[in-house]
Amino acid sequence: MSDSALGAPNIVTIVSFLLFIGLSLGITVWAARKTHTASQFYTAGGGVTALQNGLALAGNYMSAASFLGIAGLVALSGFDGLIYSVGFLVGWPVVMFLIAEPLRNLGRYTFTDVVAFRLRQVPIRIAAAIGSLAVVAFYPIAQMVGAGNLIRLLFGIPYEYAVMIVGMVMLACVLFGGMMATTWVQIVKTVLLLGGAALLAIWCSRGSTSIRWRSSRRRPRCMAPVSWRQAGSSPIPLTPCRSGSH
Amino acid sequence: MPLTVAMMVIYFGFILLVAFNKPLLAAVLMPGMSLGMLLGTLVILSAWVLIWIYVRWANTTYDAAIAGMRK
Repeated sequence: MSDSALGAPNIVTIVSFLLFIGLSLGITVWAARKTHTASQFYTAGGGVTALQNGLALAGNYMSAASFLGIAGLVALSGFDGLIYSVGFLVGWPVVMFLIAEPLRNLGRYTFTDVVAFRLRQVPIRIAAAIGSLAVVAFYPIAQMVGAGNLIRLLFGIPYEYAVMIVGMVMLACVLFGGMMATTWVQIVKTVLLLGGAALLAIWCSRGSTSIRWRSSRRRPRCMAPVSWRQAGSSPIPLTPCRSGSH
Repeated sequence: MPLTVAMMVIYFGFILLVAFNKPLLAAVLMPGMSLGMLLGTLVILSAWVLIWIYVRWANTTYDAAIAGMRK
């Protein structure tokens, strides 16, 4: 990996990154104009269709972890890492089976509202706030670290600034756009991720015709799992599959 | 509720296998596909199936019951 371009600013990645940031902020402005009531802020006024919501939830699930963290976890710790890729999904059916009905039937927006509807408000809300902050302290911080590192690699700017930029874009999106903006940003993300991953998978499995066509001297091959390489089954020198490296 | 239990049993079964019987999961069924990968995929697919069962039940039975109460 001595010829790795990581950390060096690359015009294609920077332009696509800025395009995506611009698109996110554009969606936020558009959503902020349409958001006036609490119902519109929390649930997009109930105007999100099943397909849109499915795409948005899929975008939630296929977060930075799926592409940056879990692949590395599985590579480094095998089945112990595989737990993470399975575990995230398993929480959703359980949430759906247990919480979806009361939430809808009571016409509330958050789980806390449902519980506080039946029980004493103040202790419930304190407990919910502590729970939320505990989750916030671990989950988005991990996300921000990942995103900050990614931007540092893309632009070569200091890590602290990278984290601050990401945080401000995230906050602007959620605070001003509400559920409408977050839903549509996630939909865009899902389509981009699924499209990009499918493209990479096709390139890697189909002998990467377009890459080979451009650089006929060296035949790029995808990186095989460690076990295959150790078995020495492939006589061809293996190079990591990078879509745009030539 | 039975669906929740089913999901939990499937998930924790997988976790316990990962924790205590890695050699079994590492058994290679065919090149590039070990038993662990297959089971992991099946856990995800089982989540889909359980959700499908739930949605069908909610659409046919539960929503009808609520509509009946509202009348």
